Amino acid sequence: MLLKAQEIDKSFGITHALDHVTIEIGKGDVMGLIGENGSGKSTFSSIISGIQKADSGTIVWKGQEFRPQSMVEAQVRGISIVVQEMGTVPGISVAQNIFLGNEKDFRKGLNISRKTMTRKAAELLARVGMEWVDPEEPIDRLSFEDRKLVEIARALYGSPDLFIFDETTTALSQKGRDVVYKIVEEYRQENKAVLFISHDLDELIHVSTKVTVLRDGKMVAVLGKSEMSPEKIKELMVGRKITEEYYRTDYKAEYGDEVVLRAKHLTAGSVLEDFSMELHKGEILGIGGLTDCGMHDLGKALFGLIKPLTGSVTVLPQNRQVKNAYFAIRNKIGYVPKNRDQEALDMNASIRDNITLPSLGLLTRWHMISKKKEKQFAADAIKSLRIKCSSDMQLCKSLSGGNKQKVSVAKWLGNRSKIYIFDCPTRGIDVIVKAALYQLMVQLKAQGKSIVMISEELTELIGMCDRIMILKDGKLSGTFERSKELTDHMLIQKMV
Amino acid sequence: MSTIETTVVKKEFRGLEKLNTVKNALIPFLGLILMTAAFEVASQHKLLLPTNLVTILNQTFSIMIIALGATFVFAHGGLDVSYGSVFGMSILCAAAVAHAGYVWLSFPVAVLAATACALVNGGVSILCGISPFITSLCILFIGRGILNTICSSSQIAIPTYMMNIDTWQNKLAVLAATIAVTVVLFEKTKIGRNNKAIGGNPKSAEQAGVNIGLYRLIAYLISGITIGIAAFFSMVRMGSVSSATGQGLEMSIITALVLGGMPMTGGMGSKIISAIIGSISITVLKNGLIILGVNDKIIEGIQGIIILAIILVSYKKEKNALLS
Repeated sequence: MLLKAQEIDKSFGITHALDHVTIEIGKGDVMGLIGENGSGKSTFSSIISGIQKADSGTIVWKGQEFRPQSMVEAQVRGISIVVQEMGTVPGISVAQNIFLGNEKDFRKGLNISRKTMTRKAAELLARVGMEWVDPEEPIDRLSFEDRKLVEIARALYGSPDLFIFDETTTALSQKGRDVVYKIVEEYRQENKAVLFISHDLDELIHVSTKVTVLRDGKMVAVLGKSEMSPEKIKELMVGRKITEEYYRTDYKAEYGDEVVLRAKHLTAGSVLEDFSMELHKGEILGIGGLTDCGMHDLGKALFGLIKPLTGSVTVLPQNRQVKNAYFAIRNKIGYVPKNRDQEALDMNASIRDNITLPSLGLLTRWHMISKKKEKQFAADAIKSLRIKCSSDMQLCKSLSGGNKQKVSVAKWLGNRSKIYIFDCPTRGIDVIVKAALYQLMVQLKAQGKSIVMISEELTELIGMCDRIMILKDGKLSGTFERSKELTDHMLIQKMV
Repeated sequence: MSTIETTVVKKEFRGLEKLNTVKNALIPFLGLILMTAAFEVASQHKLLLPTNLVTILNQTFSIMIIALGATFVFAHGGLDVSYGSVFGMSILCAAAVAHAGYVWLSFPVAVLAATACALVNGGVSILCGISPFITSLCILFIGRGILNTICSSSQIAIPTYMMNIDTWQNKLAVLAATIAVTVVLFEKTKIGRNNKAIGGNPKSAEQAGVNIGLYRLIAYLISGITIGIAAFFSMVRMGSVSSATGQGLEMSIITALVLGGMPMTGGMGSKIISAIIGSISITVLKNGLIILGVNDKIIEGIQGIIILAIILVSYKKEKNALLS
């Protein structure tokens, strides 16, 4: 056994995050770890990797008792982690980020040898498919995804024996995911070990040799390769059989003739070029493609957040051009961005303040914001989306990912938006919240509301949308109507 | 059984959360009361004598009025260090008008001059995307330069009968009115809420339809008006303007807000009560030390130490958020 974590227990205030959890990882194991948001996955991995300490329990690592005091100590002893949140430090170079906390390894007299550091960084970057990056470049020039890959390179330093991926693939597109899979495979073959945390069931089953399922801080099962099936894991995660349908059950593209939102010859952002579309009443329109195909810019342009270079976005029947977000909201458009934590929410504000912000104009009495109306508004939204919280004054940063996403969506339900632009609405959230969001979309559609769903997950596009438009390098490359015959493969062909 | 347990725990948790918010709001207030009590006892009951209370009111007046307006700018995360110099410029313009004989014009001129300076300060920062701290630093130097140039060659005094306006009754009334208006604007209207939202996360504010440039500018407008009001009443008290007018005032404002518990990054945690409690605290602190007969050369040093102590007690370190 490489790692034996026994009876690990951890509480945060009244929340019992880990309830005497025992997990064993052997050489050559790829241990998948799954559970709903808030089931204790990240808490467990952060204890193993020295980010925080357990209240009780013992960790035995390579036959010795192990009590890491910091991430750096754990890394020196052979345990590396790529954390869920952004883990790079802005303002310094890529190489400095990779060796953060390990600079002493490059000491040469009193100085740090920048040359050796740069060379070593280039080697590590090559392992994550980023040969094109200059290690001396400031980290801020890299995209969100590439910074995540730099974190992987950092974790690879010192050739750890246990590699922990904490929902790393959530932030990555297919290219980055392939890098992760490659590393996992190498580790398995070299008889080292991986702890792999992900919400993506298919991915988890694909890469893991064993899966541990957590529920409410307790370990409920360890499954071998042969026992893994999406249905079984879902059932273990929730503790009951999931009877509700996940995606839409009909296979008919059905929507009104009335056009509610029109983009004409839209060129915007860095790649999107000459794109036209029409969104109809009661339609769920899917936009798919690779992550840098321009679809996220499209979402922002539809909501007026970025100005089109040419072309226009018009709301109908008012027949007025969308100029900015204020105008979009006034005309009943709602937008859920891809980067929830950075863009959608004010983490240090309460759930109530976040939900009511776009709708303050509706919540006034004698031109003053009415606290009573605000409370009612927030309470309705929390109830209809079943946001798990102790009160509407709870700060958003203390919520789990799924509940944060619900808050982000809730902002637009209360003010009766008619058009919803969802950019990767199910990114990084568990199956239960996913199912709830899909259900909500079906409800909205039935009420005659229209939805633009931008997504990198093809199965969800096929499962939910009336029409799917695929973008490639900023241009429309194909349009598909909803049908039973539609497969991932058909969409992928238009994407690359 | 288990459901009953969870509801009990939930209720307890909710209670705790409420207690926490109340506690955070109360600490600056308790600090003020403790400090007042300590000085009152140490000075053998001189601190709260009616004559000294009038002195405290006089000293608090300008700081509190400016701090009330500054709260709007701080709420959206704008750090402004130009208060003293804008205050001086405003007095300069108002005194010049009064000196020329247009006495009735001097109040509107004071407010207009301060507002214009504040709008230039905020406007440049917003339009050119420069850090508001830097533009305010420039305004600070420019204003100080103008004051030095004009006041070195000529003394501008106002007609002496204008000093009759300087009564504690007038000031109390103006103070009460300013508090009432700013509290309503900050806590009850979109102006306050949107500025707090911008301080919390400008991106989420923009996506909620907040016109960031406009609301930041409104904050500077309010701040400018309050500086003008404070400047006018300060002018009728002093009777003239000199090159040192308003020097160091900006630090008093910032210190007052910090003492009152205002988060330096702004956001939803900003409260207008911070301006009120903080400005009284800083005045009582200074006044109390003077009454105790502390040498005025070392008062600033002692002030620094006491403020540091208060901040250490009242500012919580950000605890690790719940992981997983």
